[in-house]
Amino acid sequence: MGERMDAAIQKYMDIQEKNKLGGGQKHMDRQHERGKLAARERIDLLIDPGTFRELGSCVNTTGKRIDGIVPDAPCDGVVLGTALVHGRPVMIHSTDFTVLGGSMAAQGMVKFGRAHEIASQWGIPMVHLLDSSGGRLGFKDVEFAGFDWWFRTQSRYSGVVPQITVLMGPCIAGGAYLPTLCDLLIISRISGNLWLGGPRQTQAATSEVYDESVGGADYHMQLTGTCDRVGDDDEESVRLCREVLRYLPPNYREKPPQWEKTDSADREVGELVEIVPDEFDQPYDMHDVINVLVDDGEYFEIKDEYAKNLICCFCRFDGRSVGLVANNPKYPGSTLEVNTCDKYYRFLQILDAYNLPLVNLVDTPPVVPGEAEEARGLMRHIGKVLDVYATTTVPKIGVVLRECYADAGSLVMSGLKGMGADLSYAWPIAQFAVEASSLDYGAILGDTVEKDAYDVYWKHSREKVDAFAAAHSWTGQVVDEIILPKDTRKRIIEALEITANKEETLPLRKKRHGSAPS
Amino acid sequence: MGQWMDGFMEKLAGNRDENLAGGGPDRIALQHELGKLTARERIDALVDDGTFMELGSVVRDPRTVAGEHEKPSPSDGVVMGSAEISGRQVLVYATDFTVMSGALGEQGVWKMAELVEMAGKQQVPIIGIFDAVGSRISLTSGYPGLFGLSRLIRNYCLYSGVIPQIALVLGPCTGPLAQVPVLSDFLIMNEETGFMWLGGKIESEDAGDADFHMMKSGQVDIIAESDEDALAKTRELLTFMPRNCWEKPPKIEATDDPERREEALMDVMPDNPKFTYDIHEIIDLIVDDGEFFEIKEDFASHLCVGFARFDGMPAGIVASNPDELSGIMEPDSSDKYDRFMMFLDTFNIPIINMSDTTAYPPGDAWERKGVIRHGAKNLHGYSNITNPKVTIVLRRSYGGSNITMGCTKMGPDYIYAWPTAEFAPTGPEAIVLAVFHKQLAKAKEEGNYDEVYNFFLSILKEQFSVMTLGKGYTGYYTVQEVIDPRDTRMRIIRALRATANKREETPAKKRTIKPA
Repeated sequence: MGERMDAAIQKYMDIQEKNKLGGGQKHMDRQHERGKLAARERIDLLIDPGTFRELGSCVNTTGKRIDGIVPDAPCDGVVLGTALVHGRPVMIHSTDFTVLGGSMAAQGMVKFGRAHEIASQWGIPMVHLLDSSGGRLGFKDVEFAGFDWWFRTQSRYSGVVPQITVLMGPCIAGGAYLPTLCDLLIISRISGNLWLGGPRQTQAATSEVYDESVGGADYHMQLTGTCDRVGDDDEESVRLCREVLRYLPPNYREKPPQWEKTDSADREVGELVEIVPDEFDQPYDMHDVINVLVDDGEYFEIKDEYAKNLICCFCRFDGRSVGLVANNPKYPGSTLEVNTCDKYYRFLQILDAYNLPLVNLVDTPPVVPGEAEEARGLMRHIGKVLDVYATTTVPKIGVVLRECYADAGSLVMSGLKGMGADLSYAWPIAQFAVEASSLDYGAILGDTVEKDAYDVYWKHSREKVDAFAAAHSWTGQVVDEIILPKDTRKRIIEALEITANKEETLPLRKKRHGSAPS
Repeated sequence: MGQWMDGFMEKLAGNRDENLAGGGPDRIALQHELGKLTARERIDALVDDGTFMELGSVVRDPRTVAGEHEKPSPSDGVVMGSAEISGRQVLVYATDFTVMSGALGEQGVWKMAELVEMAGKQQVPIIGIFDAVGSRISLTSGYPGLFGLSRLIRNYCLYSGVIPQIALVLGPCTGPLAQVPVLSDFLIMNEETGFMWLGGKIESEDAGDADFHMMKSGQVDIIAESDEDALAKTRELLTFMPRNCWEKPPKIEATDDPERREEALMDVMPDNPKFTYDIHEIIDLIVDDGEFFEIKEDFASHLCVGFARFDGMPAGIVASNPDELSGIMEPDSSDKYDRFMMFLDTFNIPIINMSDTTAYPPGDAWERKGVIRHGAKNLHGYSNITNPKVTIVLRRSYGGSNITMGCTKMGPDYIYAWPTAEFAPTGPEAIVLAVFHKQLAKAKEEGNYDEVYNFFLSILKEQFSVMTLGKGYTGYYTVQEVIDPRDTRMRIIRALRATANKREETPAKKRTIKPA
């Protein structure tokens, strides 16, 4: 080996060695003192050991602060590369907070923006491990694409490959759109914060004073509906990301991964009749039902602390990845509330985009949302779910446990075949109606309606009928078959098997979207 | 006439007479007393004279047929058929309030569901006129009404973005049927008689009326003073759109000068950038004949959306309005913007964005409403639309406005700025405070705070000006051309002509995953 080669190799090795420390030992120590992991440690937790192949390791900043200072910024604060997760390739972008607070500048942004684009074309998932103080304000950098180019890339490839963010640091202003544009957002409780304006910026702009309690993981889970899962710390958050990737195919062209079969396909679930009371006013926790039904009682719940009267989770039936959406009568209120609709809307889009079948467990409480929800635009939010449900072509399997009313949610819960459900099963105790509403329109509209309206014709749509009356005719298209509760798991698995190669052609649109409510 | 016809013509005439009698003279008189037109009068007022061809006029409620009750049920409460509006085909239906309060019938709901599918296949707009309370459909005896209702709703979803869907709520519209006007692309509601409600508890007097659904729920697009007004507005609205997603919007003979320069544009903006002005003043000056057909006028009025024409070419305008809340963007305006933008895209109508806003506000109250995901919704939306897109940056393009209103790298076809435009991640004043807080704290101690503050501010103001940023073409805070404000109309018209045949693809996929 000649001297030039020797020196060049040494130069390369020096960069690699220096990169391990990011912005330096001092910053690295501070990162750990805060309970956070370093950018490369996070990657190691996510991936199959030893599979990380870095890209852009020799990148450094091209920016200069407006007072003339030129900083050192290894990798421009963006550790990027491919790796294997459960043996399948993914693209990973991990921001390095030890480098100028993980701030985003021209080189780093093009690194992960371009990586996202190419990963989408390759059909491999894109994971962002974020910990960034935001745009590198006050710097003059090379004139090139910024957030806008990146957001457009991310949006245009939405639905092509899974996009997941694990947020483990601050995420402010323009940068805050990055995780929200992703399919799934996991936030670390101890370190993640998502704000349109961080405390300092917000105070500068509006004089409002707040701290990290605003914009934290639980805040975005419980109040804003922006977060999908909360991890206690960086380690758990990254582990959750690894777990959820297992349920998803690498891209929209492929079927979800088939897991090893670890549970019996014809297991009877007779205990369900003990869990679900046959007195309809008695509540129960639908989690207990799901626990019994799915493979090994394992499921990955989404937005588990938001709109809790509807459960959305990934799970397995006989090793097949499935999206399960179930009413949860444990929590009061109607299942059609605005927040519930937003939760369902997001989840259903993911299922359809990535070919995961939908299983609905139906038990709609006889409640229609009232004025407070109407004032928030109730029907346009329901409309979003209706639109996605109607245009979703993955198999849709419904099981009605107890109550099933059209104005209380059954339209989007595979409780009505006319909406496009593939198979609708009902337990023998199930009960159906067109309207759960008991509102007296005569009292509201006064003399303009006929006095005998209820007695002669309105009564029909409010009449509650049992499963046998509903199953008596097929011109009503409500129940395909009454099933025994103990066979529920078996029937769901069989239904998924039968519908596994489903194809459905919808009316041709010029654009990829309709003009749905918003 | 041969014997084979004996009696049949009388039966047909009898059917017509029954239908014209609706629910009976008392119910028709009541309808008029309430200031409402009947279903047939509404259709007549909506469509071109003599073009209405009725379908399903012999249909009756199966329970009347079976003799379960005596109520008349002509057409099972739904008058429908094909017609022409301004010489173009449409399919139209109207529920008949005189027939059992317009309550949804087993056959009536199927008539509507099938008509929507026909419109989808025939690729013509569907217009629904609602005046109906409650429902007569049931789940017993094999009655297919609920199947029909779900088919109706599903058909609206399946043909969304294929054919324009317009709904008029000219009386009550309740229960699951109330989803249909909300699913429709545009909803016109009568301010006197309209009432729309899913069925939950009512607590206030105005719940469910036109103002409620305009200002609070954001579900009404246009409020009409009367049935006649609603029908006239429907006719006008239709002139801006093509019959289906495969056609272009109809261009009309222009009555305004495409080269018109507008001196008055130089005087709309106040001297102090902190002061506001009404964006309508600018819109009125640049569109054909000053005519702007505004949508959702009283919902999130800080973002103004609507239709206009430029040299006879229809376009949709989305403009921040500094006069209301300083033109901010927030969750309600995001929803308003998203819906309108998606409609424009599906029907190949160009979008004109006009930006002068500080965009999305920070703070606890806004965060709780999901301000970030709502901003993301607009980013996602704008990134995925492929209709002709033209952006004019007027003055402040701060924060998220820069991106959601179609700045350079968001892929507009043309982007222009007035020389007054400023691009910044947030207001330059706030940036000085946030970035140079250490220097400012030191300056405060040393007693030269104002001097230091102004020093940094002047650097930033200069740096954020489009006259500085415009020097780089590869950057993101830039435009294709800085223009003389007086030429705005002419520039837009040229851009629309240039993009009339544009094509743009998005990556193949099943569907996007849009923020909620």
